[in-house]
Amino acid sequence: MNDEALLIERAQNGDVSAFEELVSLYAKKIYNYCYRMTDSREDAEDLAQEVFIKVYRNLKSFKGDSRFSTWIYRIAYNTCVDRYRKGRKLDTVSLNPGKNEDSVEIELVSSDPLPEEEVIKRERYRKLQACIAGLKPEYKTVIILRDIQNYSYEEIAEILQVPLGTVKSHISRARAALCDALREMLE
Amino acid sequence: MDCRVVQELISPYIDGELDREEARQLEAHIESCSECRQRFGQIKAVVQMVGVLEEEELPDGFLDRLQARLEAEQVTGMVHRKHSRFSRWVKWMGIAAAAAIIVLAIRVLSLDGLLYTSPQEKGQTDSAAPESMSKSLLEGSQDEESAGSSDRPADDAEKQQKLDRGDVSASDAESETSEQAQEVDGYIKSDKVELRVQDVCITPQTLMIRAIQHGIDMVDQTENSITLKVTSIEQRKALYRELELLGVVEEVGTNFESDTVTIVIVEQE
Ligand SMILES: [Zn+2]
Repeated sequence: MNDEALLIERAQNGDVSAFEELVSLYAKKIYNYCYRMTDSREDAEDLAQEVFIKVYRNLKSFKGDSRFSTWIYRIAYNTCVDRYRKGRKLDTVSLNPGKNEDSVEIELVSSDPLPEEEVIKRERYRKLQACIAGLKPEYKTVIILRDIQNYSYEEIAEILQVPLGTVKSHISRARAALCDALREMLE
Repeated sequence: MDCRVVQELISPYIDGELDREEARQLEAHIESCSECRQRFGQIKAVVQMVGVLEEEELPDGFLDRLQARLEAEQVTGMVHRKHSRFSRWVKWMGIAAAAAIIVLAIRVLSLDGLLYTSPQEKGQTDSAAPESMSKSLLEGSQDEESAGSSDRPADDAEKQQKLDRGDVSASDAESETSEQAQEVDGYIKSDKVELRVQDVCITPQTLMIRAIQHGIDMVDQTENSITLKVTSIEQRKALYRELELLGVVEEVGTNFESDTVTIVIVEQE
């Protein structure tokens, strides 16, 4: 039994510090996943916290049929999609790139003027991020999981609970859609 | 293989998910079909761009707020635990996050290519948070060193050249908006330019990623050159501007009517 499996078992038996350790292992990844899905730091925090609350509540139902990481991501995906279906602002960002908070990054260097190359680079990041968030959920999720977080096709299939062939075609179409969106935005 | 099939297979090819025979067929098709070759280049560029997006830090107080929410739900155990490992971890995260922010600031300030760092780096962002933070600390100090030893002089030289030509935008004191930054006098006039660079990391791939962002398509690519289709003066200006940021641009072409331009990368000592 590896360390993570041990932690899970302890957490399932009510060991709070074990749950805390599990949170510490996944908090940043899940927060980043939600951030890329929403293009909003505020929504990302809210969603990521909801994910961990669900993880806590459902921990006992985790039977180890899948990897714990894919189980958490599945909860994250479902949480983000639920929010999207409920019509919250999850998908309203694509037409207005840059309105979202760049304040944090800008604060870091506020005392110095930005080198011009840096300005252009930031602009690119922002547009790219907005284009990703503007894709439909099943597309942006595979872009995030595959191209940002480096999960394998098998892991993504396990997270989304779809056949491998579906993952393959989703990744292919998602990248094509992102490519087209990016070109359109930059034209 | 027909073009539609090929374009569906580009993605799995990039990920190494095709078997040897399929991969061979795709390569052969791409060799002979310019449309699919172009699409291949675009998709690959997008994957690379996405791959260097940096991981966000957890917001300050994220874990405190999570703990509060869990307590509010009357989740047992977490209540009244004054010095739980969770809160110690929160404290440690705060210190590590502060360090990471300083590193980030250094990286942002140094002119090294955030967007164009090597794709290998991205694997490192996937580890558990504390570990990746200490890694980024290490990376940061390396970046600082390299920025000091090579990037900055190159950049100063470039700025000096701009100043020599009376290009005031090169002045450090100017804080520019991106609109202002778009304004350039120069544009690419002929069908061939040489780009003299001091940075060995600038490849045709680098140029393609930049070109695609201006809606400029690739026509052909070799080991040290790339041919792009430029259809408007705006694209010629945008391309010129991109190239200027990378090195010294010299027109060497003789055809001024062509709608393509070949950029040859020449490394300078
Ligand atoms: Zn073709």
